[in-house]
This record gives sequence, C-alpha cells and structure tokens, in this order.
Amino acid sequence: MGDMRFGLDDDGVVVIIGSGAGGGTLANELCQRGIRCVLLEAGRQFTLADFEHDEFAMTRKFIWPDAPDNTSPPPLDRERPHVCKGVGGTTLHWSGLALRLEAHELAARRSYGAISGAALADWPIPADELALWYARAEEKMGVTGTGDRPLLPGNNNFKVLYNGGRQLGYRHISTGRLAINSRPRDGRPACIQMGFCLQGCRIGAKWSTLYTEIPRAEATGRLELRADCTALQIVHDNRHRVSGVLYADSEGRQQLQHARAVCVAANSVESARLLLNSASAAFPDGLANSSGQVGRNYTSHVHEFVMAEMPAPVHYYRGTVQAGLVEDERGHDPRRGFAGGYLLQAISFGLPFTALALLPGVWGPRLATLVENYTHLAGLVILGEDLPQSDNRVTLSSTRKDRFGLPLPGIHRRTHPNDTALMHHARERATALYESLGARRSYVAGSTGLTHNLGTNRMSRSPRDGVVNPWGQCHDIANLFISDGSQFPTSGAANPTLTIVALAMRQAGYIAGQMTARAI
Amino acid sequence: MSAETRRDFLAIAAALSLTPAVFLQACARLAQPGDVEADDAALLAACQRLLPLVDAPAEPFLEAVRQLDALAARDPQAAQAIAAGIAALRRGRPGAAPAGDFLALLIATAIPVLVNHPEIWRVAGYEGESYSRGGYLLRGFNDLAWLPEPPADSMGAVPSGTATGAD
Repeated sequence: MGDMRFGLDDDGVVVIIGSGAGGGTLANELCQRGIRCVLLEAGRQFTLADFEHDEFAMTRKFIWPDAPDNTSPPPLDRERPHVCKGVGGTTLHWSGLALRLEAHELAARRSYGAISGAALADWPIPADELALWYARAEEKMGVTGTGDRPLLPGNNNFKVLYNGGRQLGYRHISTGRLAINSRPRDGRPACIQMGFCLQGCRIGAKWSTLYTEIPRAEATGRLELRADCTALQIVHDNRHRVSGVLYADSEGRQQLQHARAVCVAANSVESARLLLNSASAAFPDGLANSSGQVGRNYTSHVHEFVMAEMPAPVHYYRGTVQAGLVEDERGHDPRRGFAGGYLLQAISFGLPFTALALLPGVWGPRLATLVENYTHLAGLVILGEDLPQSDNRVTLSSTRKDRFGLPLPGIHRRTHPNDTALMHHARERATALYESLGARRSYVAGSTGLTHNLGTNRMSRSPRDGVVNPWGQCHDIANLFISDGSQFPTSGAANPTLTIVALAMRQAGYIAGQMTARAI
Repeated sequence: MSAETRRDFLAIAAALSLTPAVFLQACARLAQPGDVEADDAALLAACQRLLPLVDAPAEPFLEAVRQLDALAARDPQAAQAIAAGIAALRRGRPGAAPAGDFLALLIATAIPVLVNHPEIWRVAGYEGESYSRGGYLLRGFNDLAWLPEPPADSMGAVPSGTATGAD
C-alpha cells in the first residue's frame, strides 16, 4: 500500500477517476513519468483472498448495485450494464481476452460504407501507430500467443469448440490471446485452470490493475489511491479549464480535490453520466458537450450465449473460462448479409450462472433437464460488432437518483437491423458447430448485460463530431481527458480491454508532453 | 402461527429424510386452513415443482422454503403473495401449478437457492470451488477423450510435471 498523501488544495496533481484498465494503467504510466496523481475509485480495496469461488457472492461484492434506468425496447430492455466497482475496476471481473481491433474495424465507415441509421466513423488514429501501442500493451499484460508467450493449454470446452469449428471448415481456432499467464511471469503464477475467472482471479494469474499497475504506481511515491471515493462532479474555473473534482469520501462527506488535469475512466455509462452531471451555467448541456455527443453512440457488443448438451461429458466449468477463440467470422464479408464480423469465444459458468443465464425465468422439467445434464454442456459466447447509433445513448434519469442524490444514468438502446442480421448468422453457425458433433440439445440465450460499455464520449478529429480528440483530450476543455472505452468511435468485434490499455499508455505520453510544454 | 412451528415442520422433514412428495401429500390432505405446517408443506411441494429432479435431495428444497419464510417475515407484500399463492393451490384441482405473483416470487427466490445448493451440485455433477484443491489442472481440466486432440499450434502445452489427462 502506498502512503502518499496529497492535499485537497494541491492543484498540481492529475486526478484520475476510476482504477480499471484505463484509469489504473494511466495512473501508473503518469507516475512513472514523474507526474503526481490522485486516483479516485468508487469501490473498495480488494485482496486476492476476497475472491471467492462463488458466483453470487462475487456479484454482490463487485458489481455495482445501482441499476440504470433502462427505457430500451425489447430485447435490450432486460439489459443491465455491468459496472464493477472496486480497486481494479472491471479488470477484476474480465475474462482476460486481450484482442486487437482489426484494420477494417478501425476504419468502419470506409470499410462498410454508409449504413442507414448507423453513425459509423473511422478511428482517427492510424492503424500502424495503434499497432505499436498494442504490442506494448500485450507486453505489459503478458498476453498469451503474442511475443514469446505460449498459448494456454486447451481445456475440455476448448476441445469441443476446436473439433466443432473444424467440422464447419474454420481454420483460425486457438485457445486465444489472453492476459492470463501460461507460465509464471511478472511475479505472478501460471494459470492452474481453476475456473471462476469472472469472479476475480484468486491466484493473480490474470492481469488486473489491482496487483500490477496500481502497486507499481504507488511504489513511485507519486500516487495517492483513494478507494471508496465516488466522483460526483467535475468543477471548472472558467470556460476552458477544469479545476478539480467534487467527490464523496468513504464517510459520505463531500470533498473537493483540486487538479491540474482530470482524466475520466469510470466505464462508459458512468463517464458520460459524470460529464452530464457536471453541467454548469457555462456548460448547460454537460461538461465538454458542445458537440452534443456526450452519451450518444452508446455501443456494447452484439452477444448471445450458445450452449449445447453434448453426447458425452465435457465438464466445461473446469479450467480457464474463456480459453477458446474462433476468428474465421471476424472479417467484413458483405455476402453474409451484414457489415462487420463476430468472434466465437469459449465460455463456461458454474451451475448457478448456467441455469440463470440459459433458462431465465424457466422452471419445471426443462430446468431439471439442464441441471441433470450439466456435465455434458459445452458453451460459447458470440461477440459481434455493434453499430453505433446516434440515439442509442446514456442520459440522466429524470426519476431516479443514487444515494448521493444525483440522477442515475438513463439508458436507451435499440437494435440496428445489422445487429439482428449478424446475430442470426452467428447463432446458426454456433448451433451448427455443436450439432456437427452430435449435440443433443442447444440453448441460446441473450444476456442481462455486459461490461463492454463503449462509445459515449467518442473520439473525432473535428470538434463537431465527437467529444475528444485522437488523444482522448476533450475538444472543449484542454485539461480534461477521457481514458476509458467511452472514447471508442466504434466497437469492433473484440473485447475492449486491450484497446483501452493501449490508448491509456499512448495518452500518458501525450499528457506528460502537454504538461511539460505548459499547454495544460 | 409461530416461527417455531414452521421450523419444527422443516426440522422434522429434514430429520426424517422422507421422500418429500409422499410426506407432503400426507400433510396437505390433513391440512386445516391457516395451518402453518400445511403452508410449509404446500410451499415445499411448489419448490419441488420448480426443479423436478429424478433423484432429488430433500435439503435444498427445505432451504428454499426457509428462505421463502424469511422473505415473508421481512416483506409483507411477499408474505401476501405467498399466502395467496398457497390458497390458490388449495382451491385448484390436485396437481395445479403455482401461478402469477406467487410463481414470479418462487422463480426469483427459490430457484437461486436451489441451483446454488451443494446437494443440487452433487446431483448435477458440478464440482464447484476449486482454489482449495489446486484448480482443475490436475483434476481433469483436459480429460475429454471422446474427440480428437486439437493440434499443438492451436493450444499450449500443459505445464511440465503435471498430468495430461486424455493422452
């Protein structure tokens, strides 16, 4: 634990809001460059011993209980975006899949053309430049299958995915690129196939900012981590500069931390909400929102679970939860009838989550059949590109407030016809994959929400089109940065963490340069 | 109508380890309106219908009833839904299924208790927590042998010094 303390009136510090993939990484990168940081985290400090192999207990521990006010039409009305609160943020809960966005996804508008109803955009960062940062992020996180790091061994669920994929003619199937140690590395052990990756890795084989970036930042003597501190509002001193962050400390008292710069990395729903809740006379529509884009283009991933009862036992819960990846449908191939692509990713749950995810609200013989054949299940999750739509957005709830009296986020998302076409294709392929091996029964289930919340403070070259520039710096306010997945102009088909880390590493050098040049 | 009476019923049911359905039918036949033990018997029967396993252990279903009783004790609205649901079952023809608010409450409360219960896991073949036993690395994570082994370029080697399962 660090013991650095900065004064509330110290206006030389950078205040970072959120300690997950974006905020935790940025804090370390800035501290390594000699910059003093205060890291505000709404959740509490965890140790490895807090990570129980208990699906319900861990949901209670680190999934934030305030449900957003969701006014989406079906099927998205069931979704409740997951946001993890706790030191480490969503890197406590993530599965470890660390995948790059591909060239066609980084140029979605150019690759897919104009699509009615979709606010497609190209990323304003050259793909070859981003590739350099991806390589550095993979090195930092120890991603398997990159550098000299071996892939993880294949568990039983992978063997089914591999063989079924081959039956369909797929060629790009592996245990995947994961930030989970396949051999001891960086002071952390190799994976011992425990399962329960999503409940926090009990041995720390999976990368999380909790036990990598944050303690390293503290070791510099330049980081003060304040856990149990919820940012309420970002305050500004004039039209062009933010001056600090008002937050509620662990006792519920309001404190104002002054700042030289503020970096927001609270996960897309909360990051947009914080800017909207920071409206003032000078910024009546929310901070940094002259474009009107704050909260808009809220994307996730098109996703569905496909699980199948196989003719012989699989015991899919044994081992790394998401060590299995089919990449053959990832590309953009309009002959399939939709733009963008999707991944098939192995996934497994314990019995409690399996039952509740696959058969929500179902009881009686069907539930009994699932339970009695649980050992025979194999499973995957479809993860596809979710097209941005201007009116899919995070707003402020007009009716519901949190315990601090601030409006909860309101969420409204509609499915784009492209999402539906993609899912239709993917569902058919995933079901066929298991049927090719003699599956006796398939389960297809949507989810009640992912942690993949993206796009609500999108990046753009022009201040008219987005909230931040290609460095995550707000177009309207030079010393206000966005450092999480809300910067993404589009979602791609990959889990977002690696990209968030790469962008945070890239942003740190830019912020340091701006400070040295006294531009901020 | 005391809480003790309810506990007595559950304790007896647990201690006797009777095939609950037989026991419950006996209780229900003898039931008088407002009879707490009969209420619990009806709840137990309803919980068993949620998850009609061929080889059902008794304890998870008793635990579900305890949780429903606890919910009723702290939430008057839930208590009312449960009472109304039981009354509807009594009025209905034999074998009638739970319905309405009562069913929704059973699904929300009892199913999570059931699927999270170690005795249900035993029936399902789910081994649960693995940290205390060193994960599944040496306990069958890759023991599936009814399909061909994927090639070495699709996956990494099992760390040396450990069992390789299917090979």
